[in-house]
Amino acid sequence: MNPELKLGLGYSKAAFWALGILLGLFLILPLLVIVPTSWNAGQLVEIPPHGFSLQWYEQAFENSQWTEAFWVSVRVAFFGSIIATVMGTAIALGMRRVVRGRGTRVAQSLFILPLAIPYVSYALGLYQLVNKLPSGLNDTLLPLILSESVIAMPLVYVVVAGALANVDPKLGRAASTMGARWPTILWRIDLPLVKIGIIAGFIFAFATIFDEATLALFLAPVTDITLAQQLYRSAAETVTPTLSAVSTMITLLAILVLGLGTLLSRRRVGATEGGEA
Amino acid sequence: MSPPPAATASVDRTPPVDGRGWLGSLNNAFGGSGAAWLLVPPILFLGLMLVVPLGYLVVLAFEHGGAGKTGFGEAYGDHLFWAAMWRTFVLAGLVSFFTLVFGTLYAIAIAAAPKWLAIVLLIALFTIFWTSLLVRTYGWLLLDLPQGGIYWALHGLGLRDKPLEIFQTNTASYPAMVHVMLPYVVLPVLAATRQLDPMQIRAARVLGARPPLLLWKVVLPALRGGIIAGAVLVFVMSLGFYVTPTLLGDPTKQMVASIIGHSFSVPGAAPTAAAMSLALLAIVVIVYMIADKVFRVSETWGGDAA
Repeated sequence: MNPELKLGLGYSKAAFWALGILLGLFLILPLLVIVPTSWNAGQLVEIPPHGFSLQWYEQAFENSQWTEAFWVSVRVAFFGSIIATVMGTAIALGMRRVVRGRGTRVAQSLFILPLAIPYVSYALGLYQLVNKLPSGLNDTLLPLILSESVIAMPLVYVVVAGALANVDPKLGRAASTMGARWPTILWRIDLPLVKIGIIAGFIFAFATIFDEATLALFLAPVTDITLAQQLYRSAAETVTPTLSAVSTMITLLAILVLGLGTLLSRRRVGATEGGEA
Repeated sequence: MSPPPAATASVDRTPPVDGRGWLGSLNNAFGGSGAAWLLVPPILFLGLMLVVPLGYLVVLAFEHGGAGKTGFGEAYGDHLFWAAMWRTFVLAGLVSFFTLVFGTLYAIAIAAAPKWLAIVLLIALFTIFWTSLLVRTYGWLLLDLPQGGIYWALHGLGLRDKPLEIFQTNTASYPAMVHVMLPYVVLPVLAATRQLDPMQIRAARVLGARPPLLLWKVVLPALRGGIIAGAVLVFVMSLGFYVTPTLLGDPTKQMVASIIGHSFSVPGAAPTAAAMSLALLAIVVIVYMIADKVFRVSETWGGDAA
């Protein structure tokens, strides 16, 4: 990828390739063990598996615990990522216009704070607060949806800000000299140009929330268990081939969805933005 | 008649907005551009949904728990808490060290690889980055079990006959945590390798720099920002990480996050858990502030996170 680096490393580049291959194997190791155990013909998880059967996939679809959890996750991820997308896009658009100063530095820290906070601490504060309020909110998915949207917001902000960086600021100035006020500029220039970035941000937010387990474990109502929670619980109890089958399926789904999101964001954001993620 | 240059400058800016009312003054505080109003809803939302619950932890930690002491007194007066804190610190420190080393090596390997290999390595990276955290943790569980994947491999190689004893020890958390965190270092470092100046590398090579010198004096300094931003992010994320250490680690020697998680089901434990949470949060904030001041990590996070 970098010819000069290759030349400069001389023969030692082979050592880096070997290390890279070893680390690559380390990366896919968990999948190498999960996928085969999902097609085991016997009743238990066996390493290595014996025979081949798709019975555990069938089981996963027939077991309402798994299918219901799947739809709860879809619901939480859908509403949570809509809020995260609206808010994250508003942050990206707003921060672009702001003149750098003391206030903006505090605001910037607030916007990326959710990336770093320990989720379990956040869950504790929110859980105790919601339980103290006489609102009946603790039996709904609302606290979970809102808190998930908080942690997904920085992702949308980053993706949309990346897309916005490619929009020529002269367009906005040109419009403003012709008398357009900021809502018009926003609606007619900025938003259409970053539309694909917003969609990609939504997809990343959706995938993040769909996968998030810690907040779900503590904030979801007893009656609505998310898929990540269900995975956690069954992994904590006993390992079963069904668990392997479910894991394989959601991995495939995630790769499809996130691959699509990346293709979208790369097309807009381009290679200069480090647009892998 | 003096056409002031300032007039052109103000035309260049976004259009003027009336500065009336509290929104107007807030708007002026943000630099006088109308679109800054867009920041009001997210700030209110984050204030209500993030700052208030975290602030409530302070209130909670002053309440009296089961033993008649405040949460602070009970948590910070208990040597078991400090032991857990130390364990958590060691885990976060070692995990960020290993991810820093392996992540940098992996990124350099991708940058120095022929195209086909670079693509294979990137596919491995993204496959795992996109795989659910729980699925990955479950995979490590299958590997760590007494007769799991690692045992099978070692046994097949004739290296071990007795079942493994690493599941539910804190040793089991380490490879899994490094695995989970690796992409957070690889991605920023990989972005930094794109900025490597080919001419600088060529100059070093032509002037006779051997690979170790080239790596040490040219490549690593250029990657420094990405490496540090990634390692700091991994450190703060590892401090509060719940799922992986709880599922794989020793249930009798838990990390702080697991102890906090356990408190949800124990009546009267909330004040102590809140005090522990505040300790974790304080470390996260301090590390972030130092790293931001010294290395400006917030700028790198803003560009490469996700």
